[in-house]
Amino acid sequence: MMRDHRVRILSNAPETLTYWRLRVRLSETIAIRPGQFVMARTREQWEPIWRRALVIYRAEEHAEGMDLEFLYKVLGRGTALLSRQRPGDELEMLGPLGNGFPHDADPDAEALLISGGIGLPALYLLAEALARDGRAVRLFHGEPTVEPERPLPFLDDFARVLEPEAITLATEDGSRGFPGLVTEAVEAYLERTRPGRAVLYACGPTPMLRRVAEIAAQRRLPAYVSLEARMACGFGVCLGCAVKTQFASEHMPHYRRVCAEGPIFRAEEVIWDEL
Amino acid sequence: MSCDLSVEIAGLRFKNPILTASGTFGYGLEFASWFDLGRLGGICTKGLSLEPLEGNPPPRIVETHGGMLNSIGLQNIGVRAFVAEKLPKLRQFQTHIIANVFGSCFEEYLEVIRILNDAEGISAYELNISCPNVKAGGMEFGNDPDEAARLTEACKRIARRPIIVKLSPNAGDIVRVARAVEEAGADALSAINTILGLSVDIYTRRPRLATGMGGLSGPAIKPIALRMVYQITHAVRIPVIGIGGIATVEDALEFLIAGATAVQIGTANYYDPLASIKIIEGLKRFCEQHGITTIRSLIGSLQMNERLA
Repeated sequence: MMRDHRVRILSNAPETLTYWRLRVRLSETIAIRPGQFVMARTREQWEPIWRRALVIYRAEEHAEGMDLEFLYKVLGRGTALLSRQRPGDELEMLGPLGNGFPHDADPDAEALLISGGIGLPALYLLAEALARDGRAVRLFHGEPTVEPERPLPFLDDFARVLEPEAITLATEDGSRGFPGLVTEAVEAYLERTRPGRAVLYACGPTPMLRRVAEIAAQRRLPAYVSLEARMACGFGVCLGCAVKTQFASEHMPHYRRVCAEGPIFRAEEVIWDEL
Repeated sequence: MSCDLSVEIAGLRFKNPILTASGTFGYGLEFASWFDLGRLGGICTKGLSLEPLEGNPPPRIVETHGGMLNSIGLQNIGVRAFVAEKLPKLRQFQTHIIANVFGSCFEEYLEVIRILNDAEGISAYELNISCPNVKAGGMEFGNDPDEAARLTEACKRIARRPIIVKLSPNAGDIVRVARAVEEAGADALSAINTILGLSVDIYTRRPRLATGMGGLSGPAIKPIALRMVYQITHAVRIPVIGIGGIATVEDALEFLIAGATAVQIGTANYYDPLASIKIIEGLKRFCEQHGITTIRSLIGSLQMNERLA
């Protein structure tokens, strides 16, 4: 159930040039679905005024409760403030929030996980759950560029639950892995293997998600995308994160809330021209 | 010694002066999993229109220093769905339900009130004459004292419950509008609604909101709201409910001392769903620490520097 958890920071440090890893301890165990998020702030903070949405990257239960991990990029005032918090400091985390990925969408299909940039952390718990179910899982991750000799620790995390050859890194400048967009890597894979059944799960920049939706439509494959929107609350009352979708309730024929009905939507539900 | 936090507005007794502001508290039920809604002085519902409204295209909100701009566009399920689906659950809580009402024209306001008149469990109506988001949503009523008075009078004539008029800071002279609607029969006032603002993306050179401008809320507007509430309470005899950037118990106390009989908590509900409860607890603590036996003794107790009064 959604609560405002007071959590203690275990570690909070830059992992690469762009990604920070935050690890916190909860004094209890909570049920989390892959792709769910929390709204985080420092204690009693109201400048900047909004909490920041952080997707739950990894979760580990233990005798004292549960440790949660998050990956984030320092992009603005909120994430800058977060990056200044030290081990031992406390954060307030409202959650878990959102609907999460359906990981039993098609039990016999190959699962293709597709991420761009900071979309990656939304997919780890899904990869873990699918792998636990014995499903065939592949990860395609795209970055603009990656320094050739630098390690990518978060891809090592995925390598612990997936076969190393099931992980494809794509870089737009060709500095590492597949040269080109991550969606081009996915298309090349689909063209080569022509799987009868596959489910696409994606999180990343909107143009990437839109391309995933097109690929899925062309090949008649189900696809689930995790959308991002500005959120003031994260629990369904500010109505700030509304996105236009094809099907919605009787009273709201078009707008649905990314925080409450999402963040995961079926790709064909999203009206991409109005995002 | 415990302090009496109750206040009276338009013949209604509120157990404490902390209400939640329209548009920031959903239909109330969204917060029922966080705390007993019966602890609140009152709940102002999301603005209700005759027909359901979809609202504006995204992006609808943007964060600013000390606050945020919104242009939600009054998205709501419509008054009939509110009465049928939300009110039966909401009225079970021991608190005042204040239905916030708006329309795109005179007749729509009246029709919404007629529908609410027949529903049980509502204590008062709050007229949104001031939402800056929808062209037809009240900008004209809110800015013009004569129009605001005409609307208030028409609503008052048919309403079976007290009318609270929510005033816009975007009016040329909010005090004139306050006087005009008091004259027209308003039972109470609430002030202020959001302040029209703009935020620009310097890279695209476009507004950060899809609709261009939006309403500014949050702590950034508090000194303006406080000044307006002070001025209004000195110009009218009916009670005024203060709204505008209240984030802490100290903020709420400032409004009471400046003359507000009660306050509404708005934007704070977004970053802390327990904000209103924390402020109620804070009021109790403050009164106990300072030997205040009734919160009413604070209302309007501001001693303004005579030279500036």
